[in-house]
Amino acid sequence: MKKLFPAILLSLCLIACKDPAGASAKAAADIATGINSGMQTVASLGQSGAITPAEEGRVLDYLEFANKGDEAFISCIAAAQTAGSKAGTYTACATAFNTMLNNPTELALIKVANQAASQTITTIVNGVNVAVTAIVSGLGGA
Amino acid sequence: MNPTNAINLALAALQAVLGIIAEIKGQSGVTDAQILAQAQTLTAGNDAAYAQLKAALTGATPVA
Repeated sequence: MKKLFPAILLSLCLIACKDPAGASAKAAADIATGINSGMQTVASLGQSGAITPAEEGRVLDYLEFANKGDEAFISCIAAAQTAGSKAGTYTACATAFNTMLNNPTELALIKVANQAASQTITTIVNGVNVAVTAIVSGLGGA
Repeated sequence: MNPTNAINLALAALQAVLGIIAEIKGQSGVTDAQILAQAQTLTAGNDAAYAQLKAALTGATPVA
């Protein structure tokens, strides 16, 4: 497993470095899909009573925050294409998205009291983070 | 907790990786611009879903 992750990252770099625009666009679409699934899951947690309405509202706020980050990522990709896809521009787009997602103030929104629900929400947020980290690495970023 | 949704979320993260591989292999058959447009549609849908869910929480009617 320890060897698998670097191997995946290396593969991503070999792949994404060839077509950074396509890789970035695909990642943006997949992340949007993940956020949508996350919103539906959070809604179901609220409906089942696993989290309070206030908690549900805050977690939804975080997911919308992540969605806004994805929208900014998409705009950045489009701008990079218009500017001629200069080296490093897509990496900068993905890095900015990654930095935004790790805003401590926003991450504080995902805390909920119910342990099982908390794990589910952490899985949702980690899913988005892993996807963004993967594209940053795939593009050759840190 | 809905196990199906949790699995879907994990798969969505993996899709970001697998999708990149498929893209390079030329299996998707669509242009970068088309994928980007699809991504924009998906995020716009998320904005709408967020508005609806928040409105449901407060009992308000979302503004279209």
